[in-house]
Amino acid sequence: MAADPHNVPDFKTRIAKALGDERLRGAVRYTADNLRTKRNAVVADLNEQAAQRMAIGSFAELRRQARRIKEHTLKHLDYYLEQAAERIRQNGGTVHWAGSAADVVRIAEEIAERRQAKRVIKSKSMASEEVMFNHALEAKGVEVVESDLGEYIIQLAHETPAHIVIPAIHKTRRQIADMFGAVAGRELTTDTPTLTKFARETLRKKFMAADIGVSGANFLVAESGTICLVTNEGNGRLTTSVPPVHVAIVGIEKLVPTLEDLAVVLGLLPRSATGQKITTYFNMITGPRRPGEPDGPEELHVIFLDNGRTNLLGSKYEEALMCIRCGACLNVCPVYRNIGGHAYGSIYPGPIGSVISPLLNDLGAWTDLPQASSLCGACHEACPMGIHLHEHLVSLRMDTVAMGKADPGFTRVMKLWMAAWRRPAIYRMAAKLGRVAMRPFVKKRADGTEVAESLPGPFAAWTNTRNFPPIASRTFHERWSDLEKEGKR
Amino acid sequence: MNQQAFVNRVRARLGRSVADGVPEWQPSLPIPDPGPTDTEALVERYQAELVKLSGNSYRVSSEAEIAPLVVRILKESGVSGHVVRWDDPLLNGLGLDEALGAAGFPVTPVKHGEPGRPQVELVEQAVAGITGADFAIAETGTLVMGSSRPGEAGAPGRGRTVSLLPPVHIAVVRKEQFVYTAAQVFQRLRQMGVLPSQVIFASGPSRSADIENDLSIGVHGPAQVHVIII
Repeated sequence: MAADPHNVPDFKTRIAKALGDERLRGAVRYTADNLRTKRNAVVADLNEQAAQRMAIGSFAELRRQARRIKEHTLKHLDYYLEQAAERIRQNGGTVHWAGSAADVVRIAEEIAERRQAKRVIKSKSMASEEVMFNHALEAKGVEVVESDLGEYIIQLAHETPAHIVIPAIHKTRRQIADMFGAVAGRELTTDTPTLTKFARETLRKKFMAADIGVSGANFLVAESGTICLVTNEGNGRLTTSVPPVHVAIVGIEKLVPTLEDLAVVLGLLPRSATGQKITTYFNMITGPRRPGEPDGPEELHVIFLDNGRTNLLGSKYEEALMCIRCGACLNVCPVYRNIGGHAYGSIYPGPIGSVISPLLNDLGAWTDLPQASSLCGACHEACPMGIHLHEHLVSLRMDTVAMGKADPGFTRVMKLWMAAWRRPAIYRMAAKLGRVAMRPFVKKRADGTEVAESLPGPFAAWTNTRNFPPIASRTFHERWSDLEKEGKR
Repeated sequence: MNQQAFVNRVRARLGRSVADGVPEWQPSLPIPDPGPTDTEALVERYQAELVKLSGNSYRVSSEAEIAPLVVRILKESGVSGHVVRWDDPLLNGLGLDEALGAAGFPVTPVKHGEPGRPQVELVEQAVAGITGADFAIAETGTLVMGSSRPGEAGAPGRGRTVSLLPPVHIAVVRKEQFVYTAAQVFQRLRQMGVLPSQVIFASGPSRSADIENDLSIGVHGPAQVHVIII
């Protein structure tokens, strides 16, 4: 997957492509609405239960507690990393340290080579997407198969996920049936049970034949060295139980201090991601198969991943390391809902992606992303960790300007704008002029509201993708002075 | 990159050149120990939650009722073939092997593994897997199952796959194993000290919504979950 913006068309082109794809937009909006509605319902239910002392806390209380956990862990990350590593080794696992994406690939290749492994099965992992794992191992002649149903669909289509939680939202059942049919070598009907059955049988064979299972981690408990995975399908369990080797790629921000802290983060993640109280499976892995156990992997490898995460540590952006990858900020973001995940061109889309992609990689190469936000703050409100995403986006824009990486034309316009708007007389004049000049372009809608759907010249850049509200027939300034004259203040 | 270099990079970003000792940390919950403690209330809540997740539950008043009930469940599931089960004190002595064998469902208890590829193939071919459980969580309709007995270093025949690979999962739970929240389970696991190599929290059958947001059951894990409560 292209993590290098130089390999993809520029952001404007990507946006135009996404906006032109009505089906994609419909699917993204439908899924986002669906997830958002479910989340709101389950959060309301939690709050009601907490009020009756029937849950461990309200959503707001859990959020406060989760922030406390993550703040503490990040502040003492050196200690918790060393503790976790020691425990994993005591449990019979092997610990590896990957400073970069290339390190992860090299470590995995070494493991595969030593085991003479030819077949890898994967459960869903954003960290593996981030390091372009599949691409790198396939180049070495190792078959890598995604086992999450959505990821498997995406893999067959040679695409990238459109959503962090539900990767194949933009694929219709017809397209899925055609792709599965091509694998099966026969025609498949488009009903969900048939497609599910095909995926189960096909992937089950892959699981049984796999030499290595690769997973990410949702949490890692430092005091016990326990890898935790939150899944619904069961592929996460298969990946970590059936193949003889299990490799877990773990971002350093996944640590929590103790087993008891899991109650809080597990209370937030499924609710925020899919509107579930708990996912079907919550898997806690503490080491490989033990002597006498009838199954489980002979080897467990944990690869701790930095890949730019330490750039955020100790900086004003440290808070973004609290992200638990639930996707709630995507579902509420007006920009994401209109352009979907692909247009961002980064592994992590939506508001969180616009914040961390520049920080993990190189802000100079990703200056577009922080601009892709209306700064409405819906993401912050939805975030189970209360990350101030909108503030970080503004801050990144300021960094962009300070680096001298801002678009010069845009900067010039902004300077003019600023100069004019500082003078009340010019401001009032512009409002009057604008009102008159806009008139020919304003349309009255069925519901009585007025809107300008297309404007000429430089304003077209706005109205190409958005409507522009007409300037009020009486501005607030004018109404205020009217009121003053009437003595109604 | 080695551990020292990696941790040093983290440490430098945190403004330290040496470790600063063991951090003070007290896990806490906004509302400790919520919900009912009465067993009857816990079981009822568990059953209500499991139904919402498309799982089935049954209540029996004696161990003697279990084996015939398992036979009935299997016959109604419409499967035929061999069955695997944990080789665990929780299930031994229920007469499962005899009753199921007589009904045409030969039972293989998973045994201490041999090296290499132990018994995964056998489990994969089974039509149903029968397990016990270490805890049941009422708030979410969840079963908690260790790959060995929590708190014990030894590992008899349990493993990870009996509740996962066969299309039907049948679990036997005892009334005294019910708690209200996952938080209580995490507390107890922490007190026990020795964690099994895998602890799974399973809430109903396997599910996915990856095809046009349409719910599908039994993608990779079991499509049917039956919980028998004594």
